[in-house]
Amino acid sequence: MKQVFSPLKIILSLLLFLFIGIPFIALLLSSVATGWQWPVLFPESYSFRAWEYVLFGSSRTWQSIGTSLLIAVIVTVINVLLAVPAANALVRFQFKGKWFAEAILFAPIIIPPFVAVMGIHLTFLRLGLTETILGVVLAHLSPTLPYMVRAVMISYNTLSVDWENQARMLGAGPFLRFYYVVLPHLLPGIAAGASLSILISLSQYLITFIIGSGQVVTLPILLFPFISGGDPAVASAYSLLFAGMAILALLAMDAVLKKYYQTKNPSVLKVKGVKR
Amino acid sequence: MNGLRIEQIEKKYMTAETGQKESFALEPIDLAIHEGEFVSLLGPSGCGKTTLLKLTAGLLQPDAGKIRFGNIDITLIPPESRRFSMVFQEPLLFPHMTIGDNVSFGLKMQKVAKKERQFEATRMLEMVGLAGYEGRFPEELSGGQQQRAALARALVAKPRVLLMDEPFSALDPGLREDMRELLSGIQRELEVTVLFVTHDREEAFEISDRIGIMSDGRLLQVGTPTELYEQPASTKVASFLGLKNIIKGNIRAGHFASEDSGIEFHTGKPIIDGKHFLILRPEVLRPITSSSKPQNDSVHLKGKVSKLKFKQGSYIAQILAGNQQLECTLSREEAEELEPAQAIELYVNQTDLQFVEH
Amino acid sequence: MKIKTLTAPVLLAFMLAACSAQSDKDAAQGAGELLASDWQEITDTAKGQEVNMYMWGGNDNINRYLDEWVAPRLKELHDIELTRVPVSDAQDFISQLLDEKSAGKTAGSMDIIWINGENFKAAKDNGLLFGDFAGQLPNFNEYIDQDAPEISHDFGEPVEGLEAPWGKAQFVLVRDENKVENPPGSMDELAEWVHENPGQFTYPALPDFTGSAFIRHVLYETTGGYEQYEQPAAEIDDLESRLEPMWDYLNDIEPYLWREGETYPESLSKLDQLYASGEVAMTMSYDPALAASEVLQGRFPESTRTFLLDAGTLANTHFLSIPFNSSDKAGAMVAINEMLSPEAQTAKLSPENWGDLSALDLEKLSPEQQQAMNEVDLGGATLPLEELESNRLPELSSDYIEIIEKGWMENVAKE
Repeated sequence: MKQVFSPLKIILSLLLFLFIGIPFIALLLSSVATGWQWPVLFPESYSFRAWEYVLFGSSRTWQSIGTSLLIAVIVTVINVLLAVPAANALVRFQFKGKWFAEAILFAPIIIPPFVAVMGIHLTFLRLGLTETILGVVLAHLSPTLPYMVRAVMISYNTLSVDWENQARMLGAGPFLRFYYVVLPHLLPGIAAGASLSILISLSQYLITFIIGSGQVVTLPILLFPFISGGDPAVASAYSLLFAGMAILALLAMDAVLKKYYQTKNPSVLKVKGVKR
Repeated sequence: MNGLRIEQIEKKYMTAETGQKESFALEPIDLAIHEGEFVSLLGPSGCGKTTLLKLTAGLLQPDAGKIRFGNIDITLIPPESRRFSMVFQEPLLFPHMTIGDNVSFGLKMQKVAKKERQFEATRMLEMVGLAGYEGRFPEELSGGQQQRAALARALVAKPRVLLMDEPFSALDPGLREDMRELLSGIQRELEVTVLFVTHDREEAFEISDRIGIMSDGRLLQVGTPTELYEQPASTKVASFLGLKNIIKGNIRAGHFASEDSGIEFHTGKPIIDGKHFLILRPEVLRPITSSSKPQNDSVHLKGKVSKLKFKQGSYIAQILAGNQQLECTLSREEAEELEPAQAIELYVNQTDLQFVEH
Repeated sequence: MKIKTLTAPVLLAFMLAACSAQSDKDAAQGAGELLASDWQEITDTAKGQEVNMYMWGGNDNINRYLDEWVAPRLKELHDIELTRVPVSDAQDFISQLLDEKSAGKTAGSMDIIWINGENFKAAKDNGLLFGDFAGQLPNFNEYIDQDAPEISHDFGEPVEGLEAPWGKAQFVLVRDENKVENPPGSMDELAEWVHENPGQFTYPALPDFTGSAFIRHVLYETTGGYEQYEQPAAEIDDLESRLEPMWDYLNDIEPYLWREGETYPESLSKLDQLYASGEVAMTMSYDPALAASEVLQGRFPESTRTFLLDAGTLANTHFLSIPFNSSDKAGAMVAINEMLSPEAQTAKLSPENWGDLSALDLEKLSPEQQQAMNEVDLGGATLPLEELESNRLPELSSDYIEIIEKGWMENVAKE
C-alpha cells in the first residue's frame, strides 16, 4: 500500500506545526539560552541553569505541581456535581427569576476576577478559609463553574425528555435513569466542561494568591514572579513545565474517558438527540 | 380480570411560556380496556390522545380521576413501577448500548439474571425478525429495524399493558404496512393488552379490536370498527371517519325532510322527532337499473349525474339530488350506462339509512 | 443530592472558621511583650517557630540565597523553619494585609515582609506593621549607622524602627564597552551620545520603578539639584513650571531613542532583554551588582560595565518588616537579626549569591569582618564599593514620584 501525500495536506501539517510547534521551540531555546544576541536566530551558548533551578533547586516545583493538580481535580469534581443539577434545572424547568439565576451564574465570565476575589477574600477571611486548599478550591469555582454549566447545558439541550421517559417506561428509577441514559449523553459535554475547568483552575494566579495568601503554592504562584520580574530562562522553563502539566492532565482525563467508553461503546460520540 | 380502566380522567394544560393561560384541557374521560384487547385512540393531532396515553403511562399526573389496573388504583404509582411499557414515535434506542442490551434493558431493571436476559432478548429479536442483531449498535440499523428493536424491547419484560404513541408514523408507507402486520401477529400470539395512539384512520381500522375517536380533548365514541362505521354517534365522528353524504334535516312523525326539502321520505322506523342528520354511505346508494331489484320499502331519490371518476377498480359518481351533492360508488357495469348530465334514479334500502341526532 | 453537595463545603467552612478562631487567641497573647523583652527570652521563644517570609520571587539568585543559604543557617543556629513565599509584586501582600486588618484576622501567616518606599508608607499609614522592633535586634544596634539618612528615612518617610534595613541599592547605568567607549558623565553628555547613536538607547516606560528612577536623575540635573525637593511637593507653588526643563529634555531625545521613541519597553526586564540581545547599547539598574551577576550567568555580554553620573546617582535602602498580625513574631525578629549579621550580609554581597550591597556600616565591623567583605569579588562589571558610596543622591519622596509619573504620561508618552 502506498501512502499518498497531497500537497494541501503537507502545507496544512506544516502550518499546524508552525503555529503549535514554533512557540514551544522558542520557549525551549529561551529556557536554555545564554547570551542570545539579536539578530542571531539561535543562541550561541546553552546552559541548563534555569532547568536546574526549576527541577532540582529548592524551588518546590514538584510540590506545587501536586498542589495545582489536586486543586484542579477537586474543583472539577465539585463543578460536575454542581453543574449537572444546575444545568438540568436551567434547561428543563421554567421558574421565576430564571434569567437572574443565569445572570448570576455566568457573571464571573464577564466580571474581572479581581473585583470578585476582593469580596471573596474578606468573606473567606472571616470564615477562616484563606490560606487553605479548601478556600482556594471554593474560590476557583467562580471562574470555572460557568463554563462547566454552559457545557452541560448544551448537552441537556440535545437530550429530549423522551429518552428518560423511555427508560422510565422500561422500569428504570431515578438513579438508574441517570446512570444509564442521562450520564452517557452528558459525558461529552462534561468532558468538554471538565477540560476547561481543569485548564482554568491550573492557570489561576490572582485568585490562588489572594485566597491562598501564599500558603497554597501552585505552579503559577512560582511562575508569575519570574514573568513579571524578567528572567526569561526560568520563566520559559516554568512555562514549558506548566504546558506539560496541563497537557498531561488533559491526556489523563482523556484516558479515563476512553476507558469508560471502551466498556460501553466506541461510537458513543455520535449520540443523537431527539426533539420533542 | 386484569383490564385497564380509565375513570373520569381530567387534565388541564398551561401554555409552557407564561404558565397562565389554559391552552388545552382533557375533559373527563372513561375508557375500559379488556385484557388482551387492542384499543386505538384515533383523532387529529392536538386532540389529546397522546396526553391520555401519557396519563395512562403515569408520565403525566391527572388533575382528577383514577387509573385502575384490575382492581388496583395505580394513579399514584410512578410509571417505572407500573410494569407498563411504551413505544414512542421515535425508536429511542439507547445509542451507547447494543441492540441486545437495549432489548434486555427492561429485564435488567427487574434484576433478571444476565443469562436469562440474553435468552429472552434473543427470542424477542427473533420474533420481530431481527435474529442475530444482538451485537449491533442502534445507528447501524435502518429506521424500520430500529422500531422493531424498540418493539422487542417493549415486549420483552411481558408488560401488563403496551402503550404505543404513533409508533409507525415516521416510517415509509410500505414499511408501515409490514409493521402493522407484525404487530398484529405478535399481539395475538402474546395476548398483550395494547393501547395504541394514531391519527391514521386506515391503520386504526386495520389493527384494532376497538377504536376510541377523540376530538378537542373529548372521547366522542368508542366501538369496534364496524360499529363506528355503521353507527357513528355524531356527525363529527362520521366526518372524521371519512363518511360522505351527510344531509341535514328534520324528522316529524316518521317523515324525514332535508333542510332544502330536496329529499323527503318516510323513515319506516320509530325515531324521535327533531333535527337529524341523514348519513348515506356511498356504497348503499344504488342506481335503479333493469337488473336491480329494490326492496319494497326502499327509499328512492332522483338526481342528475354531475361527475364520474374512476378510482381503483370502481367508479365514483357525483350526483346532484335536489341541492345536495351525493357521492355514490358504482361498479364498472353500472357506470358504463351513465354519462354526465344524465338523469338518474337511486334507491337506498331501509336498513342502510343512518340517522344521527343533531 | 443537591442540598447535600451544597451544604457540605459550607459546614466544613464553619468548622474551619471555629478552629482558626481558637488559634487566633493563642497567638495574640504575648505579642506586645516582645518589644520589651530581653533578647535571650526572644530567642528562646523563637525556637521551633515557622517563619514565612513574603517577598518578590522573580529572581532565582535571590530565591536561592534565601532557600539555600539563609534558611539552613536559621535552622541550624536557631531552630527556625524559614519558608519563602514568592510574590510577584509587594503591593499584593500589602493589600492582603489591609483585608486581613479589616476582617480582624489576628493570626496571620506573614511573618516577614520585604518592602520599601511606597509600600512601606502604605503599610505604616494603615497600621499594618508590628511596631518599633528594630531597636531590639543586637545586630541592628551593633553594625548599623542608625543616624544615616538612608537608614532613618525610607523614601522620605521616617522609619521609626518599624522596619530594619536589609540591603542597599544604588542606581547605575549599564553599557556595553564595545559599543559605548566613553560613558557619558552627565545628562547633557547622555543626550549628546543619544543624538549621535540613534536607536541605541531607551528607558522603561513609567511607572516602571527603574524607568521612574532614571527620570528622577533627569529632574535633578535639568532643574538644578535635589535640595529644592526636600520639602513636601504641595508646598512648592510653581512646581509645574519647575518641571518644564525635564519634559523638554525627554522630548528632545525621544526621536533618537529605540524605535524612534514611538514606544518604550514596558518594564526593566524588557529593556534588559533588549540589551541582552544586543538591540540597544545601554540599560540601567537600581542594583549595582546585578549586571555582574547577569554576566556571570551569561545573559549579558562579557564587555558589560556599569557607570555612575558625575553628580552621583540615587540610592535607597530596602527593609525587612514584621506585619501586625504575624503569628511568629519572635521567630521573625531572630530571623531578621540573623539576616543582618556580617556573615549573612557578606554572603549576600557576593554576586554568586545575590550581589546586593550591605546594609551595614563598614566602619562598625571588626577588621576581619571588613576584610571578608572587601574580599568579595564583585565582578568586572561592578564599581568598587567606595566609589558607589561616595556618589550617592537621596531619594525623592513618593508624592513627587506620583506627580512625575502622571506628568510623563501627559508630557512625553502622549505626544
